[in-house]
Amino acid sequence: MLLLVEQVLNGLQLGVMLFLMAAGLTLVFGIMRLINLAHGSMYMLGAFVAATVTAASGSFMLGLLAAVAAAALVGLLVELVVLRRLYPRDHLDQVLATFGLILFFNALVQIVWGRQPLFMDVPEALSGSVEMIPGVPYPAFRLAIIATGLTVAGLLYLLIGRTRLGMQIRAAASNRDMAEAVGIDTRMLYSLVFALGAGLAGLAGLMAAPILAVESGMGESILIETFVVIVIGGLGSIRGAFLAALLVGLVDTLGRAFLPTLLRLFLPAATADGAGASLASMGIYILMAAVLLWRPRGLFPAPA
Amino acid sequence: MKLSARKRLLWYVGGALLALLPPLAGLADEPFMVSLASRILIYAIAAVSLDLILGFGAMVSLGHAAFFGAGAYVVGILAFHAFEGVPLASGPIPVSGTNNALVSWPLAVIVSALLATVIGALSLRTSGIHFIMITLAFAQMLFYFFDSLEAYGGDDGLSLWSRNDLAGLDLGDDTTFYYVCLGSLAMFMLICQRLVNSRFGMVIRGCAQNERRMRALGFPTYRYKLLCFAIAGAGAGLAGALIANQTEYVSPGLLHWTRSGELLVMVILGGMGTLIGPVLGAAVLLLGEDLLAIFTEHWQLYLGPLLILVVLTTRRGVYGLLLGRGNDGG
Amino acid sequence: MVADWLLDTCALNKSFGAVVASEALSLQVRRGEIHALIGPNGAGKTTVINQLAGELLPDSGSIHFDGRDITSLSVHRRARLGLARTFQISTLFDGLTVSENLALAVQPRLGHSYRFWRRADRDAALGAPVAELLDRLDLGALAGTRAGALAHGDRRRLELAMALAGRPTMLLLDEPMAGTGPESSRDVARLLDSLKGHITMLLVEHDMDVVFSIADTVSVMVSGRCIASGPPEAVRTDPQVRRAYLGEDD
Repeated sequence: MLLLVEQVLNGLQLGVMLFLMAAGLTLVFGIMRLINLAHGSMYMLGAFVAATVTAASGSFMLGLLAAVAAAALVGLLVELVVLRRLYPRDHLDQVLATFGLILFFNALVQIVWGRQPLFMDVPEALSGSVEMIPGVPYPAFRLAIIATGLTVAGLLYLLIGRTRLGMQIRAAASNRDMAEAVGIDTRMLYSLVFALGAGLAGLAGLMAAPILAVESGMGESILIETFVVIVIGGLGSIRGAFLAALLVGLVDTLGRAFLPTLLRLFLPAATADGAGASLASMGIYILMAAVLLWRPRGLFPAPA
Repeated sequence: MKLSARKRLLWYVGGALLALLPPLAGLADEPFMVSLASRILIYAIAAVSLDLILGFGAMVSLGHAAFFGAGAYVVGILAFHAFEGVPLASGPIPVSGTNNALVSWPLAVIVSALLATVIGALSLRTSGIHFIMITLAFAQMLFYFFDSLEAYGGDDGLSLWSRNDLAGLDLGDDTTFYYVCLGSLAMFMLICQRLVNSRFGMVIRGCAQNERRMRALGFPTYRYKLLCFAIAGAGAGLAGALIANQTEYVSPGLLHWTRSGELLVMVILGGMGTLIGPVLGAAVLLLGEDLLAIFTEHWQLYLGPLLILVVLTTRRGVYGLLLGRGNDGG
Repeated sequence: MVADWLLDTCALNKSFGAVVASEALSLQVRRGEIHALIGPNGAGKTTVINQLAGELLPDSGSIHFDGRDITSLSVHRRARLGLARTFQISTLFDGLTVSENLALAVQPRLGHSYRFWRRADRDAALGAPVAELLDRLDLGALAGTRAGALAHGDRRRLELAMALAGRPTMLLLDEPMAGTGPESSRDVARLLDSLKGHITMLLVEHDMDVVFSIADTVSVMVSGRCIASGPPEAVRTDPQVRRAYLGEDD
């Protein structure tokens, strides 16, 4: 039971990180109709900058600011130089060009930071653990991730639902031409949305840095998981992305934790462990395929 | 007419170059070229097979490496059992492993084709970006399946003790193996060439251009597209069987989504919707990697922007450039 | 009266959210006739064609073709039964030549296309009917032109040729003359008239001169409902029709 609580928290933590990634990706798809494989590169940059700045300055807050700012700036630059030209192109072109961006950024990171992975310490203030439920100590840093993720989700909700910018985003997402016709500067809006998404990816990278090894290519695995999230949630839907992110986080974490044990009830131990691990790592892909076959446009499709 | 003469010239020059490559490499004292060329030929088969669905059928799959890897694993697993002397399956009809290419290569092709049939049957119910994503999802499933398949090395992969036996040929000899790869590519391209120009090929091209009209004309488009997807899977399976032999090693890396991405790159770089294009693309990409790697270990730094440039400036690829202006690359 | 209905639709209902596109729509087309379906823009004529062709499934109601219930058959099955259609906006294979377009259109009639080895462009079984169609629709000079490069009037003729290629028993024609000049309109009308008796036609058309000169029966649709149906003269003088529809034009 205690293990279950801990694993659910782990699932939530993965879920909110996926949401930070998914928010930008799904917005960019919803508004600009762009498939951006290079989104994971912004995450990777965020992690590298965070690790470096924090190590150099000794301040986690500085690291945070630098990571988010660097990712947002690089994102803006990439949008201006390359991606903007891809909006009218078909998905195949977008996949290829942004695949090229991945290659570029992975190599760039290797040149700047070398091939050895970096490791980043958990900030002093969050290095302990918190016993929210008696008997279940949980690392404070992971709790902070969950809290930050939920806060960002709330802020995004307000931003999109309540502000002038949010109204423009919604207008552009539902009808680009109409948005332009009523005088929204879509070029500006696209750049802004892109920078916002990249900044959030950088934030996710910062959060991952103390948990995972910071290395070239780290963006790819989370990128694919993020795509799973936004496809399940319904492309272009922030709300869908949020719910799907939590779902995917929980399915992945709980699957890894409990599937082998569960299968031991029916199968010999060795087989159960093997099959369990195998099924658990396939879990989210099975989930996505099932969702797509059941509801081809995802769980919460954005209005067309 | 000038265009077709130019095309024919390309075929002749290319064919002669490929046929004479091993002795030329020997003269130039660069024997490793033969092994690199074999690798290119193998990837060319995989790329041509992808182009069947991508270029001719307009089905953008980001999971083609699954069939490539599956073919490689069939060969790897059969060889593993043959070497260990452990039957693959016991029971009423025991199945043993084998090192015989005449058994394991066709099996690799069949397994990949069946896999493609199942994956295609599900994926083709979606379209557009969802098709891209669902093919990716299935390929990732297979990647993790082999990644956690501890009996066959898990994420470390599986080493083969030797290359397969092919009707008395010594595949261990790089030159012999090269000609086997060349023969396989030639055979596969001939099949594809007939295929795309046949009635079936016309139906596939029709589906790519206007599936709605195809249905209105009375074609059950789903079935035709599925068969095309399966044939492409079979081609990738053959390439997989060959790559397992070339490197004498199979690993989940063969199925990773970035491998699918590389295959897409080869097709586009070379010129999609043509049969020579993907071959040129495989050659340019793998040679480029090799050449850039001589000057810098960070060759991807140059390859990435190059790729973006190709996408932004031309859709006709290298083949289109070679043929010159004023054609559609077809 | 016991009539020989080739197409018999009964009480079709179709709505998209709150928008009702077809309401209790019943439509009978007699074998061999040209049956015109007219009505103001937005009356739901194309939605009817799409339901008959199978691209949309009705919410309720039934469709019988040649005595057979085809209400839930797929698009390609209906086409194979001899129910062909044209599209309001030309729907061609723009990257293929005119001949290739027709060669594709001929194939379903010749059985399956799981033929993998023989070159389709040297296939006499395709070549002969294609040549005949080129001749009949006066497209011979354009045989080698890519469909995407054709002028509008030629596209409309190719559109019609594609539908005829399957030798259908019935044609659903969605504004075959839309956007063509008066001369080419007359050509198409003459062609349709010449097919009368051989092929049954349901014709959606705005050009009233054409409708009243070639149609045997005219049905009038307004807001998803069929308000009148009968011989052209009877429909022309029907007060309800005049009020609802024709009156607007005067």
